[in-house]
Amino acid sequence: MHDDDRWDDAIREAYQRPMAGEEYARERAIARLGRERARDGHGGWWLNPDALRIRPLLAVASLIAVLAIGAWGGAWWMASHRVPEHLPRHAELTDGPTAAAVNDDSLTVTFMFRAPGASRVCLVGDFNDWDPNATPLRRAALGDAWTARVPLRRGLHAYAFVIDGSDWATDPLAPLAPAATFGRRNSVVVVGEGGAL
Amino acid sequence: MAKDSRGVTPGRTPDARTEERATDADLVARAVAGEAGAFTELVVRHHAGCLRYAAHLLGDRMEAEDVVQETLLRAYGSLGRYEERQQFRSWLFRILVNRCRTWASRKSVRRLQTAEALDAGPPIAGDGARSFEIRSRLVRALEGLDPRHREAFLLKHGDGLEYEEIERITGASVSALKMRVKRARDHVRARWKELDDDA
Repeated sequence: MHDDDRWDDAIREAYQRPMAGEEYARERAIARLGRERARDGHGGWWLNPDALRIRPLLAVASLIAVLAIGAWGGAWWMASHRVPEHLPRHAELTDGPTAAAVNDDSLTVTFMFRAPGASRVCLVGDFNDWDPNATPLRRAALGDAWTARVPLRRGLHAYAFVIDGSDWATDPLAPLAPAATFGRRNSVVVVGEGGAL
Repeated sequence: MAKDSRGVTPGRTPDARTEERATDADLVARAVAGEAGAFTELVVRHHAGCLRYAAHLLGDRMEAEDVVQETLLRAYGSLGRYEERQQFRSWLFRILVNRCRTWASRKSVRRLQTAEALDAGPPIAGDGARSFEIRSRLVRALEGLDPRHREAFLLKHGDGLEYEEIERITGASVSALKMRVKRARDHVRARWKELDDDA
């Protein structure tokens, strides 16, 4: 036999030589397993970090699924909270209420009001008997803009906004009425001839 | 079976009479199905090999026992992920090698203990003096070896595994393993010769 082979055999023999006390070490291991099983139930997945590991392919698939669901949810939210296209962007709101639809006697007027932090905004005016519950505004996409579309007969109308049921506010984008109504200053909108406000 | 004063049964052998025909894969399937004794039988079969590897790699018998116990606990908790096309022993050794690496990264590998300390028990009856002397010399020759080189050397020259199996266990490529084994073998052989000369 070659020297190298003899040396390799000697190494293997030394390594494989049974270690003293192997059997006792084995019994200690079995006893510990028994104790852990008794303590955790059958493996106790919530105590075993291995149980929470995930295969890489499954992890990637899960990530893609989560992102897809998130994107779909985001798109749905944006669609459901989108500012109606007929409304000007807030930065362009310089003229107060805008008109969108016309028939012979009235215009559909869109009111917009910004009320950061408000939970409810309602429109009151001579067209709804100043009822603070009759014409609630709808919160728009950007969070603090509220809108309402109201059919108004041609002519001059006084109106205001009621915030959270108690605070009255005028429209900063519209002129004020010359005289107070119910002791308050109000805004005014003129629904004019030929479809113009 | 009679037990000694410590309440253990040293006579238990890896091939218990009732398990003669069961393969490791059969035992894993039975353990997964909830038969606790099946996993115990796997421990009986593989504990000694695991302990031998960990003791030589870590150079500390008591630490080796702890690492092997942790390995077995992890293996038990992960049985559901075992795939039958793998050899159970290779699968178990992969866990063991990782546990040893974790241990070695926490504590720099200390000087190897003497063969007597590594054995941590009374001399084995009938164990030849020559065999014991060779073990002592191996332990001393392994001193100073980098853990990754020692890992490759023990799996190749101690356990006699093929490089492909060592690759599956360690994750290192065959070419890297061959280089590690060669360097480790050169180191051990040189130390072996020095010890011969000293003797």
